[in-house]
Amino acid sequence: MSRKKEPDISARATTGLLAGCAALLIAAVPGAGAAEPPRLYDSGPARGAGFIRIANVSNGIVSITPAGRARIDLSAEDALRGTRFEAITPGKIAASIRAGNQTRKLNVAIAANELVTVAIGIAANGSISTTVFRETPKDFNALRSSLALFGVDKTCANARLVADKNTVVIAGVAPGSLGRKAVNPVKVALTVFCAKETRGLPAELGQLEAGERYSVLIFAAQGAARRVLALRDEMAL
Amino acid sequence: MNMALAGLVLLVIGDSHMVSQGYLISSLHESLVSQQAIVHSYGACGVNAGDWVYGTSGTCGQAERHERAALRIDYSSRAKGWTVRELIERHRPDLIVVQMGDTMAGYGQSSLPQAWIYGKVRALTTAIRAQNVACMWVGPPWGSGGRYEKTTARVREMSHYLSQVVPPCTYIDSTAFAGPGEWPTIDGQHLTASGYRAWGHSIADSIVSLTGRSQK
Repeated sequence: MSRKKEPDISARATTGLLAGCAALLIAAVPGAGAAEPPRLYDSGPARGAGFIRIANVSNGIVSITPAGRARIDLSAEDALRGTRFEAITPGKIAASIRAGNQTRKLNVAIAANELVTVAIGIAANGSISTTVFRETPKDFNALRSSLALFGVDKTCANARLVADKNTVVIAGVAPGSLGRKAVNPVKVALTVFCAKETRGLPAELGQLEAGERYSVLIFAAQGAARRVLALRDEMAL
Repeated sequence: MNMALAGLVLLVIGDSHMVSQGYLISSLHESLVSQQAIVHSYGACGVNAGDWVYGTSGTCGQAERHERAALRIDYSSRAKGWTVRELIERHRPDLIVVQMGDTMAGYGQSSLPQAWIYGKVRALTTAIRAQNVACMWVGPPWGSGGRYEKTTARVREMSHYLSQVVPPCTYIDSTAFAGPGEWPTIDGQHLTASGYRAWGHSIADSIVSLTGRSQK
Protein backbone atom coordinates (compact mmCIF):
# COMPACT_ATOMS: atom_id res chain seq x y z
CA MET A 1 0.00 0.00 0.00
CA SER A 2 1.28 3.41 -0.87
CA ARG A 3 0.36 5.73 1.95
CA LYS A 4 1.27 8.75 -0.21
CA LYS A 5 -1.77 8.09 -2.35
CA GLU A 6 -4.21 8.28 0.52
CA PRO A 7 -5.88 11.61 1.19
CA ASP A 8 -6.59 12.83 4.68
CA ILE A 9 -9.82 11.57 6.07
CA SER A 10 -12.70 13.95 5.74
CA ALA A 11 -14.98 14.42 8.68
CA ARG A 12 -17.81 11.98 8.82
CA ALA A 13 -20.78 13.09 10.79
CA THR A 14 -23.91 11.38 11.92
CA THR A 15 -26.80 13.63 12.71
CA GLY A 16 -29.19 12.70 15.44
CA LEU A 17 -32.85 13.53 15.74
CA LEU A 18 -32.55 14.86 19.25
CA ALA A 19 -29.04 16.13 19.30
CA GLY A 20 -29.44 19.45 20.97
CA CYS A 21 -26.71 21.35 19.23
CA ALA A 22 -23.95 20.80 16.75
CA ALA A 23 -21.35 20.31 19.45
CA LEU A 24 -23.26 17.35 20.73
CA LEU A 25 -23.50 15.56 17.44
CA ILE A 26 -21.31 12.55 16.94
CA ALA A 27 -18.65 13.80 14.62
CA ALA A 28 -15.49 12.16 13.54
CA VAL A 29 -12.31 13.73 14.74
CA PRO A 30 -8.85 12.44 14.07
CA GLY A 31 -7.59 10.46 17.01
CA ALA A 32 -4.09 11.65 16.53
CA GLY A 33 -1.30 11.33 18.98
CA ALA A 34 1.50 13.90 18.91
CA ALA A 35 4.02 11.54 17.34
CA GLU A 36 1.64 9.69 15.08
CA PRO A 37 0.08 10.74 11.80
CA PRO A 38 -3.67 11.17 12.11
CA ARG A 39 -5.96 8.23 11.80
CA LEU A 40 -7.52 7.78 8.40
CA TYR A 41 -10.82 6.99 10.07
CA ASP A 42 -12.38 6.50 13.46
CA SER A 43 -12.95 3.30 15.30
CA GLY A 44 -16.53 3.64 16.47
CA PRO A 45 -18.08 6.96 17.42
CA ALA A 46 -15.17 9.34 18.00
CA ARG A 47 -16.36 10.54 21.39
CA GLY A 48 -18.59 7.64 22.36
CA ALA A 49 -22.32 7.38 21.89
CA GLY A 50 -25.38 7.57 24.08
CA PHE A 51 -28.94 7.21 22.83
CA ILE A 52 -32.23 8.93 23.50
CA ARG A 53 -35.80 8.32 22.43
CA ILE A 54 -39.04 10.04 23.33
CA ALA A 55 -42.40 8.42 24.00
CA ASN A 56 -45.64 10.37 24.01
CA VAL A 57 -47.81 9.02 26.83
CA SER A 58 -50.34 11.83 26.72
CA ASN A 59 -53.61 11.72 24.80
CA GLY A 60 -52.67 14.53 22.45
CA ILE A 61 -49.78 15.70 20.31
CA VAL A 62 -46.43 16.27 22.02
CA SER A 63 -43.93 18.53 20.27
CA ILE A 64 -40.20 18.48 21.03
CA THR A 65 -37.83 21.15 19.80
CA PRO A 66 -34.17 20.34 20.49
CA ALA A 67 -32.06 23.46 20.84
CA GLY A 68 -31.21 24.77 17.41
CA ARG A 69 -33.07 22.06 15.56
CA ALA A 70 -36.42 21.46 13.94
CA ARG A 71 -39.53 20.57 15.93
CA ILE A 72 -40.64 16.95 16.16
CA ASP A 73 -44.32 16.17 16.62
CA LEU A 74 -45.35 12.90 18.22
CA SER A 75 -48.97 11.96 17.80
CA ALA A 76 -51.06 9.97 20.25
CA GLU A 77 -51.60 7.17 17.74
CA ASP A 78 -49.82 4.16 19.16
CA ALA A 79 -47.76 3.51 16.05
CA LEU A 80 -46.45 7.06 16.16
CA ARG A 81 -45.99 7.64 19.87
CA GLY A 82 -42.32 6.70 20.07
CA THR A 83 -39.18 7.86 18.29
CA ARG A 84 -36.26 5.64 17.46
CA PHE A 85 -33.20 5.71 19.67
CA GLU A 86 -31.06 8.48 18.27
CA ALA A 87 -27.32 8.56 18.86
CA ILE A 88 -25.76 11.59 20.47
CA THR A 89 -22.36 12.40 21.83
CA PRO A 90 -22.51 11.78 25.58
CA GLY A 91 -23.30 14.95 27.48
CA LYS A 92 -26.27 17.16 28.17
CA ILE A 93 -29.03 17.86 25.74
CA ALA A 94 -31.72 20.49 26.01
CA ALA A 95 -35.09 20.74 24.33
CA SER A 96 -38.39 22.49 24.77
CA ILE A 97 -41.58 20.49 25.06
CA ARG A 98 -45.08 21.58 24.12
CA ALA A 99 -48.22 19.60 24.91
CA GLY A 100 -51.56 21.31 24.50
CA ASN A 101 -51.04 24.84 25.74
CA GLN A 102 -48.30 23.83 28.18
CA THR A 103 -44.57 24.18 27.63
CA ARG A 104 -41.53 23.20 29.64
CA LYS A 105 -37.82 22.63 29.24
CA LEU A 106 -36.18 19.23 29.06
CA ASN A 107 -32.57 18.85 30.17
CA VAL A 108 -31.09 15.37 30.15
CA ALA A 109 -27.54 14.16 30.69
CA ILE A 110 -26.68 11.01 28.79
CA ALA A 111 -23.61 8.85 29.42
CA ALA A 112 -21.68 6.79 26.91
CA ASN A 113 -23.46 3.54 26.02
CA GLU A 114 -26.55 4.67 27.90
CA LEU A 115 -30.01 4.30 26.38
CA VAL A 116 -32.40 6.92 27.72
CA THR A 117 -36.16 6.84 27.24
CA VAL A 118 -38.10 9.99 28.10
CA ALA A 119 -41.83 9.46 28.55
CA ILE A 120 -43.78 12.70 28.23
CA GLY A 121 -47.31 13.01 29.49
CA ILE A 122 -49.68 15.32 31.30
CA ALA A 123 -49.86 15.20 35.09
CA ALA A 124 -53.10 15.32 37.08
CA ASN A 125 -52.64 19.04 37.66
CA GLY A 126 -52.43 19.62 33.91
CA SER A 127 -48.70 20.29 33.75
CA ILE A 128 -46.30 18.42 31.49
CA SER A 129 -44.67 15.47 33.21
CA THR A 130 -41.48 13.76 32.13
CA THR A 131 -40.20 10.42 33.32
CA VAL A 132 -36.63 9.53 32.42
CA PHE A 133 -35.63 5.87 32.19
CA ARG A 134 -32.00 4.86 31.90
CA GLU A 135 -30.43 1.57 30.90
CA THR A 136 -26.93 0.51 29.89
CA PRO A 137 -27.64 -2.86 28.38
CA LYS A 138 -25.08 -5.62 28.15
CA ASP A 139 -27.41 -8.26 26.80
CA PHE A 140 -27.23 -7.58 23.07
CA ASN A 141 -27.63 -10.92 21.37
CA ALA A 142 -28.78 -11.69 17.86
CA LEU A 143 -30.18 -15.08 18.84
CA ARG A 144 -32.43 -13.88 21.66
CA SER A 145 -35.14 -11.30 22.01
CA SER A 146 -35.07 -8.67 24.73
CA LEU A 147 -38.19 -7.56 26.55
CA ALA A 148 -38.46 -4.55 28.85
CA LEU A 149 -41.26 -3.26 31.04
CA PHE A 150 -41.32 0.48 31.80
CA GLY A 151 -43.38 1.71 34.75
CA VAL A 152 -44.67 5.11 33.63
CA ASP A 153 -47.97 5.07 35.50
CA LYS A 154 -47.31 6.28 39.03
CA THR A 155 -50.31 4.34 40.32
CA CYS A 156 -49.06 1.00 38.99
CA ALA A 157 -46.97 -0.50 41.75
CA ASN A 158 -44.94 -3.67 41.29
CA ALA A 159 -45.78 -4.02 37.64
CA ARG A 160 -45.14 -7.38 36.07
CA LEU A 161 -45.06 -8.72 32.55
CA VAL A 162 -46.60 -12.14 32.16
CA ALA A 163 -46.30 -14.48 29.19
CA ASP A 164 -49.26 -16.58 28.16
CA LYS A 165 -51.30 -17.14 31.31
CA ASN A 166 -48.92 -17.39 34.20
CA THR A 167 -45.27 -17.24 33.24
CA VAL A 168 -43.82 -14.15 34.89
CA VAL A 169 -41.16 -12.67 32.61
CA ILE A 170 -40.46 -9.45 34.49
CA ALA A 171 -41.69 -8.57 37.98
CA GLY A 172 -41.37 -5.87 40.61
CA VAL A 173 -41.16 -2.87 38.34
CA ALA A 174 -41.77 0.25 40.41
CA PRO A 175 -43.14 3.48 38.93
CA GLY A 176 -40.31 5.34 37.24
CA SER A 177 -38.17 2.25 36.76
CA LEU A 178 -37.81 -0.52 34.23
CA GLY A 179 -36.99 -4.19 34.06
CA ARG A 180 -35.49 -6.01 31.09
CA LYS A 181 -34.92 -9.67 30.30
CA ALA A 182 -33.62 -11.74 27.38
CA VAL A 183 -36.13 -14.30 26.16
CA ASN A 184 -36.41 -16.81 23.36
CA PRO A 185 -37.82 -15.46 20.12
CA VAL A 186 -41.26 -17.01 20.19
CA LYS A 187 -44.83 -15.98 19.56
CA VAL A 188 -46.28 -15.18 22.93
CA ALA A 189 -49.26 -13.42 24.44
CA LEU A 190 -48.02 -10.83 26.91
CA THR A 191 -50.01 -9.14 29.64
CA VAL A 192 -49.08 -6.39 32.08
CA PHE A 193 -50.38 -6.48 35.63
CA CYS A 194 -50.08 -3.94 38.43
CA ALA A 195 -49.54 -5.03 42.05
CA LYS A 196 -52.01 -7.72 43.01
CA GLU A 197 -54.57 -6.82 40.38
CA THR A 198 -55.87 -9.88 38.60
CA ARG A 199 -57.04 -8.05 35.50
CA GLY A 200 -54.19 -7.19 33.19
CA LEU A 201 -53.67 -5.30 29.97
CA PRO A 202 -52.44 -7.04 26.81
CA ALA A 203 -49.17 -5.95 25.21
CA GLU A 204 -49.38 -6.63 21.50
CA LEU A 205 -45.95 -7.59 20.21
CA GLY A 206 -46.85 -10.72 18.25
CA GLN A 207 -44.01 -12.95 17.13
CA LEU A 208 -40.81 -11.93 18.88
CA GLU A 209 -37.88 -11.86 16.48
CA ALA A 210 -34.36 -12.97 17.22
CA GLY A 211 -32.08 -10.04 17.86
CA GLU A 212 -34.93 -7.58 18.32
CA ARG A 213 -35.48 -5.56 21.46
CA TYR A 214 -38.90 -4.52 22.70
CA SER A 215 -40.29 -2.12 25.26
CA VAL A 216 -43.67 -2.27 26.98
CA LEU A 217 -44.78 0.93 28.72
CA ILE A 218 -47.63 0.95 31.19
CA PHE A 219 -49.09 4.43 31.47
CA ALA A 220 -52.27 6.37 32.06
CA ALA A 221 -52.94 9.40 29.95
CA GLN A 222 -54.73 12.23 31.70
CA GLY A 223 -58.39 11.53 32.23
CA ALA A 224 -58.11 8.13 30.58
CA ALA A 225 -57.82 4.56 31.73
CA ARG A 226 -54.50 2.87 32.28
CA ARG A 227 -53.10 1.38 29.08
CA VAL A 228 -50.08 -0.22 27.47
CA LEU A 229 -47.78 0.93 24.69
CA ALA A 230 -45.69 -1.78 23.03
CA LEU A 231 -42.66 -0.61 21.07
CA ARG A 232 -39.89 -2.18 19.08
CA ASP A 233 -36.59 -0.59 20.09
CA GLU A 234 -35.25 0.80 16.85
CA MET A 235 -31.92 2.54 16.54
CA ALA A 236 -31.32 5.24 13.99
CA LEU A 237 -28.16 4.83 11.93
CA MET B 1 -6.71 -27.90 -9.28
CA ASN B 2 -8.57 -27.13 -6.05
CA MET B 3 -12.28 -27.16 -6.82
CA ALA B 4 -13.51 -26.69 -3.26
CA LEU B 5 -15.65 -23.64 -4.03
CA ALA B 6 -16.38 -24.40 -7.68
CA GLY B 7 -19.46 -22.64 -8.95
CA LEU B 8 -20.14 -20.60 -5.84
CA VAL B 9 -20.66 -16.89 -6.34
CA LEU B 10 -19.10 -15.03 -3.42
CA LEU B 11 -19.52 -11.37 -2.58
CA VAL B 12 -16.86 -10.07 -0.19
CA ILE B 13 -17.21 -6.65 1.43
CA GLY B 14 -14.97 -5.01 3.96
CA ASP B 15 -13.16 -1.96 5.27
CA SER B 16 -9.60 -0.66 4.81
CA HIS B 17 -8.26 -4.20 5.08
CA MET B 18 -9.81 -4.67 1.64
CA VAL B 19 -8.68 -1.48 -0.06
CA SER B 20 -4.97 -1.79 -0.91
CA GLN B 21 -2.87 -4.03 -3.10
CA GLY B 22 -1.52 -6.84 -0.99
CA TYR B 23 -4.31 -6.60 1.57
CA LEU B 24 -7.26 -9.00 1.80
CA ILE B 25 -8.57 -7.88 -1.57
CA SER B 26 -5.45 -9.58 -2.89
CA SER B 27 -4.90 -12.53 -0.59
CA LEU B 28 -8.46 -13.51 0.31
CA HIS B 29 -9.81 -12.79 -3.16
CA GLU B 30 -7.09 -14.85 -4.84
CA SER B 31 -7.43 -17.70 -2.35
CA LEU B 32 -11.13 -17.95 -3.08
CA VAL B 33 -10.64 -17.64 -6.84
CA SER B 34 -7.98 -20.35 -6.74
CA GLN B 35 -10.65 -22.66 -5.38
CA GLN B 36 -12.80 -21.89 -8.42
CA ALA B 37 -15.27 -19.56 -6.72
CA ILE B 38 -16.68 -16.64 -8.69
CA VAL B 39 -15.58 -13.79 -6.46
CA HIS B 40 -16.57 -10.12 -6.34
CA SER B 41 -14.73 -8.11 -3.69
CA TYR B 42 -15.38 -4.58 -2.47
CA GLY B 43 -13.55 -2.57 0.15
CA ALA B 44 -14.36 0.88 1.51
CA CYS B 45 -11.86 2.48 3.86
CA GLY B 46 -13.21 3.69 7.18
CA VAL B 47 -16.77 2.48 6.80
CA ASN B 48 -18.78 0.78 9.50
CA ALA B 49 -21.37 -1.95 9.01
CA GLY B 50 -24.24 0.52 8.77
CA ASP B 51 -22.59 2.36 5.89
CA TRP B 52 -23.10 -0.69 3.71
CA VAL B 53 -26.85 -0.28 4.18
CA TYR B 54 -27.25 3.37 3.19
CA GLY B 55 -24.16 3.75 1.05
CA THR B 56 -20.45 3.81 1.60
CA SER B 57 -18.58 7.04 1.02
CA GLY B 58 -14.99 7.18 -0.07
CA THR B 59 -13.46 9.02 2.85
CA CYS B 60 -10.08 7.33 2.46
CA GLY B 61 -10.37 5.15 -0.59
CA GLN B 62 -12.31 2.26 -1.98
CA ALA B 63 -11.45 -0.75 -4.11
CA GLU B 64 -13.12 -3.48 -6.06
CA ARG B 65 -12.05 -6.62 -7.79
CA HIS B 66 -13.98 -9.07 -9.94
CA GLU B 67 -13.02 -12.66 -10.58
CA ARG B 68 -9.61 -12.69 -12.26
CA ALA B 69 -9.61 -9.04 -13.30
CA ALA B 70 -7.17 -6.53 -11.89
CA LEU B 71 -7.76 -4.66 -8.66
CA ARG B 72 -9.28 -1.19 -9.10
CA ILE B 73 -8.61 1.36 -6.37
CA ASP B 74 -10.18 4.81 -6.23
CA TYR B 75 -8.93 7.36 -3.68
CA SER B 76 -11.10 10.12 -5.15
CA SER B 77 -13.40 11.87 -2.75
CA ARG B 78 -15.98 11.73 -5.55
CA ALA B 79 -15.91 7.95 -5.74
CA LYS B 80 -19.42 6.53 -5.86
CA GLY B 81 -19.96 4.16 -2.98
CA TRP B 82 -22.07 1.04 -2.75
CA THR B 83 -24.92 -0.44 -0.80
CA VAL B 84 -25.04 -4.11 0.03
CA ARG B 85 -28.45 -4.32 -1.58
CA GLU B 86 -27.24 -3.10 -4.95
CA LEU B 87 -24.22 -5.41 -4.80
CA ILE B 88 -26.40 -8.41 -4.01
CA GLU B 89 -28.76 -7.54 -6.84
CA ARG B 90 -25.82 -7.05 -9.20
CA HIS B 91 -23.97 -10.28 -8.43
CA ARG B 92 -26.65 -12.61 -7.03
CA PRO B 93 -24.16 -14.25 -4.62
CA ASP B 94 -24.62 -17.61 -2.97
CA LEU B 95 -22.69 -16.29 -0.01
CA ILE B 96 -21.70 -12.87 1.27
CA VAL B 97 -18.57 -12.51 3.37
CA VAL B 98 -18.44 -9.40 5.58
CA GLN B 99 -15.04 -8.37 6.91
CA MET B 100 -15.73 -5.73 9.53
CA GLY B 101 -14.70 -4.91 13.08
CA ASP B 102 -11.82 -2.48 13.48
CA THR B 103 -13.87 0.54 12.40
CA MET B 104 -16.40 -0.06 15.16
CA ALA B 105 -14.48 -1.32 18.19
CA GLY B 106 -13.91 2.04 19.84
CA TYR B 107 -10.12 1.73 20.02
CA GLY B 108 -8.85 4.48 22.29
CA GLN B 109 -12.16 4.71 24.11
CA SER B 110 -12.69 3.49 27.64
CA SER B 111 -15.42 1.03 26.77
CA LEU B 112 -16.72 -0.97 23.84
CA PRO B 113 -19.62 1.00 22.32
CA GLN B 114 -21.93 -1.99 22.43
CA ALA B 115 -25.23 -0.29 21.68
CA TRP B 116 -23.75 1.69 18.79
CA ILE B 117 -22.15 -1.42 17.31
CA TYR B 118 -25.35 -3.38 17.70
CA GLY B 119 -27.28 -0.79 15.71
CA LYS B 120 -24.77 -0.86 12.87
CA VAL B 121 -24.35 -4.63 12.77
CA ARG B 122 -28.05 -5.27 13.06
CA ALA B 123 -28.77 -2.92 10.17
CA LEU B 124 -26.42 -4.82 7.89
CA THR B 125 -27.42 -8.34 8.93
CA THR B 126 -31.08 -7.37 8.54
CA ALA B 127 -30.42 -6.05 5.03
CA ILE B 128 -28.59 -9.25 4.07
CA ARG B 129 -31.30 -11.45 5.55
CA ALA B 130 -33.92 -9.53 3.61
CA GLN B 131 -32.18 -10.63 0.41
CA ASN B 132 -32.06 -14.30 1.53
CA VAL B 133 -28.32 -14.60 1.15
CA ALA B 134 -26.14 -16.80 3.35
CA CYS B 135 -23.58 -14.78 5.28
CA MET B 136 -20.26 -15.13 7.07
CA TRP B 137 -18.70 -12.37 9.16
CA VAL B 138 -14.95 -12.06 9.58
CA GLY B 139 -13.87 -10.37 12.81
CA PRO B 140 -10.73 -8.33 13.42
CA PRO B 141 -7.24 -9.79 13.77
CA TRP B 142 -4.90 -9.00 16.63
CA GLY B 143 -3.02 -5.73 16.67
CA SER B 144 -1.87 -3.14 19.16
CA GLY B 145 -0.64 0.39 19.51
CA GLY B 146 -0.06 2.91 16.77
CA ARG B 147 -2.32 5.70 15.69
CA TYR B 148 -5.44 3.51 15.91
CA GLU B 149 -4.78 2.65 19.58
CA LYS B 150 -5.81 -0.93 19.03
CA THR B 151 -5.27 -3.22 22.01
CA THR B 152 -5.22 -6.96 22.50
CA ALA B 153 -7.86 -6.71 25.21
CA ARG B 154 -10.27 -4.70 23.05
CA VAL B 155 -9.80 -7.02 20.07
CA ARG B 156 -10.63 -9.96 22.32
CA GLU B 157 -13.70 -8.14 23.67
CA MET B 158 -14.83 -7.03 20.23
CA SER B 159 -14.38 -10.46 18.72
CA HIS B 160 -16.44 -12.09 21.46
CA TYR B 161 -19.10 -9.40 21.14
CA LEU B 162 -19.33 -9.78 17.37
CA SER B 163 -19.80 -13.51 17.77
CA GLN B 164 -22.91 -12.71 19.83
CA VAL B 165 -24.43 -10.11 17.56
CA VAL B 166 -23.70 -11.07 13.93
CA PRO B 167 -26.07 -14.06 13.60
CA PRO B 168 -27.65 -15.10 11.31
CA CYS B 169 -24.21 -14.56 9.80
CA THR B 170 -21.73 -17.25 10.82
CA TYR B 171 -18.84 -15.71 12.72
CA ILE B 172 -15.25 -16.33 11.63
CA ASP B 173 -12.95 -15.55 14.55
CA SER B 174 -9.72 -14.12 13.14
CA THR B 175 -8.08 -14.14 16.57
CA ALA B 176 -8.07 -17.93 16.41
CA PHE B 177 -5.76 -17.91 13.40
CA ALA B 178 -2.66 -16.58 15.18
CA GLY B 179 -1.50 -15.41 18.56
CA PRO B 180 -1.34 -11.73 19.54
CA GLY B 181 1.63 -10.12 17.79
CA GLU B 182 2.27 -13.12 15.58
CA TRP B 183 1.24 -11.19 12.49
CA PRO B 184 3.20 -7.91 12.47
CA THR B 185 1.43 -4.68 11.57
CA ILE B 186 2.60 -1.50 9.86
CA ASP B 187 0.62 0.81 12.13
CA GLY B 188 -0.83 -1.28 14.93
CA GLN B 189 -3.81 -2.26 12.81
CA HIS B 190 -2.99 -2.98 9.17
CA LEU B 191 -0.89 -6.07 8.65
CA THR B 192 2.29 -6.55 6.70
CA ALA B 193 2.09 -8.38 3.38
CA SER B 194 2.90 -11.72 4.97
CA GLY B 195 0.21 -11.11 7.57
CA TYR B 196 -2.41 -10.39 4.95
CA ARG B 197 -1.41 -13.54 3.08
CA ALA B 198 -1.81 -15.62 6.22
CA TRP B 199 -5.07 -13.92 7.19
CA GLY B 200 -6.56 -14.27 3.71
CA HIS B 201 -5.65 -17.94 3.44
CA SER B 202 -7.00 -18.66 6.91
CA ILE B 203 -10.31 -16.97 6.11
CA ALA B 204 -10.59 -18.87 2.84
CA ASP B 205 -9.90 -22.15 4.62
CA SER B 206 -12.64 -21.34 7.11
CA ILE B 207 -15.08 -20.53 4.34
CA VAL B 208 -14.33 -23.84 2.65
CA SER B 209 -14.79 -25.68 5.91
CA LEU B 210 -18.00 -23.86 6.86
CA THR B 211 -19.55 -24.39 3.46
CA GLY B 212 -18.93 -28.10 3.89
CA ARG B 213 -16.74 -28.18 0.82
CA SER B 214 -13.52 -29.34 2.40
CA GLN B 215 -11.87 -31.86 0.12
CA LYS B 216 -11.33 -35.18 1.80
